[in-house]
Amino acid sequence: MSLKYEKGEPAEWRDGIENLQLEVRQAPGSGNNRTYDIVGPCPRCKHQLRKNIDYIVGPALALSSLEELVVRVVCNCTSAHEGAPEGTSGCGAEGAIKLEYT
Amino acid sequence: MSDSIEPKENPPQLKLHYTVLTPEQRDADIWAEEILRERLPRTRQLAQNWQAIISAITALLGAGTLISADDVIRALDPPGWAVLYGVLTGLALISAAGSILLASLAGQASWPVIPPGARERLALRETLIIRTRRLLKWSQLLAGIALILLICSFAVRWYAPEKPATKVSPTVVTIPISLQSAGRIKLQ
Repeated sequence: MSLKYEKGEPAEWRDGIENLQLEVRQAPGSGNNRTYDIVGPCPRCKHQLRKNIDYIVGPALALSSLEELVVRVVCNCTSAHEGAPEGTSGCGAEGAIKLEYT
Repeated sequence: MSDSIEPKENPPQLKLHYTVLTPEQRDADIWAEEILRERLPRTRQLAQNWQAIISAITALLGAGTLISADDVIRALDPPGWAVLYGVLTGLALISAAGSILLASLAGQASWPVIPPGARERLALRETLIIRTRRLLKWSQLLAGIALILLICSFAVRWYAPEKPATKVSPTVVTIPISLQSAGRIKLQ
């Protein structure tokens, strides 16, 4: 049985983001164009989520201001969750992640 | 507790950490994502607005220029100036027409074949956005060129030498006046 839809930051978020990873892909023949995704199991429902952050990393790379980026990640798993509003995907869990340039 | 993960690939080296957003930051993020999601229709809307503006300006300036073009060309004396004026005006109107056409293409909703895969769909959407933006930029560039050409044509119109005006000498009519009729003629 799938978890009920619940919007907001769940208690498991802080520990759960340990299992999220930054996936960097480079399409063949695309030069230096990379795509950046945060992927992994949702800290709440454990289903796979994916957040594309090209629009954050790309401009930051161009402006060389990568020291600290903050992104809001919302669960967008494709599993059905009871009570989810029409047209939405995910279990409603969301939280912030800081991307730190090393 | 370690709340950071090494990325799989090298550049750029980013670690993920837990953090908290203020309500204002969260609202701003939702707003930004909304804009990103609506990029294509927003860009098309922008193109349509631009097309309306450039069409109105072209109609206003173009019609005035064309209507008076015959008189202007006839008045310019060395024929070279007349040719230059004609070429500048013609190019300005062609550029303006091109600008309107490109803006119209940018503002049109296309009817692409939607691929089945999510990745291909994303690629298609990005391609459409890039195409729309490119058309809009070219349209704006052509509008700029049209404006410069039009200003140059006005400069020719105002400052190029004109044919000297034909002198009209007053006609002198000599009426013989006999002594008998002198009393009956009324000079007006």
